[in-house]
This record gives sequence, structure tokens and C-alpha cells, in this order.
Amino acid sequence: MTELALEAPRPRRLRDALRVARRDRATVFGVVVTSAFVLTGVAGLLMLGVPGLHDLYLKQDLGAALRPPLDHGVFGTDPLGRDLLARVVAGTGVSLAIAAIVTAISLLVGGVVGIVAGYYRGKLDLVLSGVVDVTWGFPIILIIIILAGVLSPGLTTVVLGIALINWAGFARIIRGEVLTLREQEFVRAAKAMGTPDRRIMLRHLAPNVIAPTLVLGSYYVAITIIAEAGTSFIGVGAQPPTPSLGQIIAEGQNYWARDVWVVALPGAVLALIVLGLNALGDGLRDLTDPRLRTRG
Amino acid sequence: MLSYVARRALYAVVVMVCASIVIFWGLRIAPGDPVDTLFNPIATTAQKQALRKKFGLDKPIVVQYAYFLRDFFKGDFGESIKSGQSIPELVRQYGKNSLILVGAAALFTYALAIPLGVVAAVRRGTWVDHVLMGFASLGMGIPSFLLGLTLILVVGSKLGWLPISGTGGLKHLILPTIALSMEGLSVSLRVMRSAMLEQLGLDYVRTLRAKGLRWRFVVWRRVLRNALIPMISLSGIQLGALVGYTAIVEIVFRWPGLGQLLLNAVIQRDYPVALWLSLLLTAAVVFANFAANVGYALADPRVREART
Repeated sequence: MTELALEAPRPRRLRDALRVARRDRATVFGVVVTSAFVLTGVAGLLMLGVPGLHDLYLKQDLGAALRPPLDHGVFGTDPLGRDLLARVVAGTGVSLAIAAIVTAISLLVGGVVGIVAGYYRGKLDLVLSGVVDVTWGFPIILIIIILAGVLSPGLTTVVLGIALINWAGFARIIRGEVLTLREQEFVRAAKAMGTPDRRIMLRHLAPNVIAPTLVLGSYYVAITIIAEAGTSFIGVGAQPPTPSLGQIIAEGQNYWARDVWVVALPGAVLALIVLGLNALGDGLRDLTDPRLRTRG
Repeated sequence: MLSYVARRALYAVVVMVCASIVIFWGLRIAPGDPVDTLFNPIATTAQKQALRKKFGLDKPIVVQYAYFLRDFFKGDFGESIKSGQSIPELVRQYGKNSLILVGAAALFTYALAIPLGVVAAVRRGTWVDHVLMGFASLGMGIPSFLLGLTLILVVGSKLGWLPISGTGGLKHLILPTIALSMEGLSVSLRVMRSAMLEQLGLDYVRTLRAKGLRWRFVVWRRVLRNALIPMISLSGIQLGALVGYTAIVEIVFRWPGLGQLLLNAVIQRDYPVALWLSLLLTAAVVFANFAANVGYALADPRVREART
């Protein structure tokens, strides 16, 4: 009887999830766009990583500058006659790499801080929560500009600046989750059995905070991509020859009035990626947060 | 309540002290001697040395920090290495423009987000709600610089309705305000809607209705006030985000504000300006958060009582 009751929710949740996914076209849009983003980004990283392929996005041909789409390559060429599609793909690769590195760092730091603070509580929690509190929500763009003065303009500065803020967001929600988890029976049982704290945190708490982290993660990836593009646009992010969507847009802005595609195409790609990630986040939230799901 | 405010104030002070040390120390060890970037390479060593001495760059860094603190408390902020203008003068001149832009964006955000969020919640599931939420999703997806460029091209250049750069009358303010506030507006709209939905599902709403109060009164006078609490606690971050994004929007619209000033100082390694502006803008963000937290405590009696 008890076993049945424990088993029952699982299949229902899965079926619910599938039904929601079928009904919710926005989520499907998010999944499709995000997958396309990752695939394009991997192609771009390949281009950035293999020296023989650098010519694809770096080779200038001033005679073929500002050719419209389909006339000279699918996306046309930029003001220096470089292939715009190759540049956008390489720029997407940069976005993907930055997003992955920033998310890995902030998730690791935020996860450790959140779990430790929530699990041990007490003075340690007070201190850690204080740090999280004052860090969380500090404007990323501002910290990157300040860091660019302290270090130097570049992608390392961008990664550092975003990670310096984003970890606190992860720590905040993970701590909140752990606070409720630690009172639950499976954790108390593990504790009563003498399981070491480290093992409880790693094996019992960490897996249970994955769902809410995933939701926040997809929003944060979107924020990271916007911040990287924005700071590269104003010149404190990616430095040439490394391409970035923001930088491609900045280079095209003076030609935009006549040759609209030099900004419109990279801009559309950037907006699409962010919209897709946000839609994915919304979809994941509806799936994982039962409160929101029942309210429909 | 008082101890809560005191704790918040302590946080703010601690953050500012840490930030000042990090920013000061970081800018001093930053690569590139300001003296090198400032004058032509043919300046003699003696000339450079004299300049270093003038700005105190020849002293050990701890001594420099002590000088910096002394200058701060004396109100002696120094001047830009580049233009020779005094920092307070620069801040007055550029700060006015930034305040106007950020103020207009904040006003625009809340004047739209609050009523529209209420309407979306009350008409949940109808086309009004769908349109507003679709708008909010779009607003969150389009980075501010891209929106700014689009507005410049379409509204400014092609249609020629509004000026696209610089300061001037109210007309110059419209496009930068829209570009700056769109993201915050979208986030606030979503938060306002879900806060309203949360409140509308509570028992007191039914009680008020059962007492015979008009629906409109219940929504706009009773429910709205409770739903504003999450908005207040979010407002610190929202204002902070405006301060951050203003740098980008100022660049796009060539709006002579503090964000642009800081960015140029950072790129040109104009130490004093970069230092004081970094601190000033950090202080603005920290203060916005402090004010939001105090406002939140004032607005929510549960917080007010619980933390006395």
C-alpha cells in the first residue's frame, strides 16, 4: 500500500509533462532554437579552434565588401568583405563557449555555497547569505566595465564579471531548496544512519536541486549571452580578431542605414537565441514547478 | 525594524569599503601606466616623473590608498588626467544627463508595468493577457543596444520622427528611454502579473467581494497594494540594472552621461575618472538596493514586525 502510493506520482508527472509539451508550442520553440544554437555554436567553435579554418571568418576582400545576402555567401559580406555567415557562426561559437564557462563556474561556486549554507545553517549560513545578498543583482554590465579598467578589456574580463555575480543567483535558490530538503525524511534518515555530511550533500541534496537549477540556468545563459554581446558591442568584450555577435553588430552599425543586413542578420540571430533560451526556461519552470502547473 | 535597517546599512557600508579597496587597488596595478598613454612617447623621463609625482603615482600603494581616503573625506576629488576638468564638475555635467535618462526610464517602466500587469492578471487567459505576455517575452529577448539601433534606424532615420542622438528637449529623451527601459518593463510586467494572480487567489479577496465591495475597488485599492510588495523588493535590482545598461544605451544614442564617461575613462585609462565614477556608480547601485530593502520592510508589516 505504502509502496504503491510512493510509486504513483512518477508516471503521472511524466505524462503531464508530455501533455504540457505538446500543448505548449513556446516550449517546443525553446527546445528547437536552443538545440540549433548549440549545434551552430559547436560549428563556430570548430572554426575558431582549427587554425586552417580561420580564413573562413577572417579573410578580407575589400572588393566584395557589403554584398547583400545570397549574392556573396548566404548572409552576404561585412564592411571588410568578410563572409557574414561565417562570422555569425563563429560569433555564436564565442557566445556558446562564454555561456558554458560562465555557467560552469557560477554553478559550481553557487552550488557549493548554497548547499553548505542551507545544510549547516547557523553562523556560516549568516555570513554566506550576507555575501550572496549583497552580490546578487549587482548590474553585470557595470561590473564588467569596472573590471575592464582593473584588468583589461577582453573575454576573460567578461567571463569573470558575469560569474562574479551569477554564482550568487544559483546559491540563493539552491540554499532555499536545501533548507526544505534537509528537513525531509530521507535526509534525516541518512543522517540517523551516520552518513557523513559530505556524502549527504553530494548524493542526497545535490541531485534534488537540479530541477530548479535547470530553470534558472537557462535564464542565466540568456543573460550571459546578452551581457557578452552588449559589452563586446561597446568595446570592452571580445577584441578582434575574435568575433562576437555584439562586435559584428557594432562594426556594421555605420552601414546599417543603407545595407540593413549587416546588423539585422547578426541581430536577429542574437535575439532568436535569447528568445529561445527564455522560452525554454519558461517551459522548464512550468514543468518543474507544480504550483504553477496546477494553476495552469 | 530599526535593527533591520541598521543591518542593511551595515551591509551597504561594508560593500562600499570592500569595493573601494578592490577598485582602487585594481586600478593602480592595472596594466598600462596612465602617464604612458597620456603623453606622446617622446616625452622625456623627467617630464613623466614630474607627472607621476603630481598624481602621487610614485608612492607605495598603501600610502596612495591613504591619500585617496584623505582626499575623499576632504572632498578633494582631483581632476581628469585627460581633460583636466575637476571630477565634481564632470559628475555634475554628465550626472544630470544620466539622472534624467535613468529617472525617465524608471518612471516609464513603473507607469506602464503596474497597470498593465494588473490588467493582464485580471484578464488572465484572454487576448489582452496573451498580447501583453508576448510583448514581455519579446522585450526580454531583445538586448537594449539592438533595440536602440532598431529605434534609431526605423523611427529616427527612416521615418524621421525623432532625433537619434545627443541631448536636447523631451524629444531627444524618448528613444533612449524606450531602449533603456524595455527589459526592466518586461520583467516588471511579468512579476506584477504573477504577484496579482497570487493575491487574487487568496481568501481575503473573496471576503471583500462577499462584503459587497465593487470588483474594481477590490482590485485597484486592495489587491494592488499587496501585489506591489514583490515589486518593491525587485526595484533595487531593477534600478541597479538601469544604472548598468545606461552605459550601453548612452553609447548607442551618444547621450553624454556617466556610463559613457566611465567607459571612456576605462578605455583611455584615465585613472581618477575611472576610480571615482566606478565608486559613484557602485554606490548608486548599493544605495538603490538598500532603499529597496527598507521600502520592502516598510511596506510589508510581516517583515516589519518579524525583524524588530
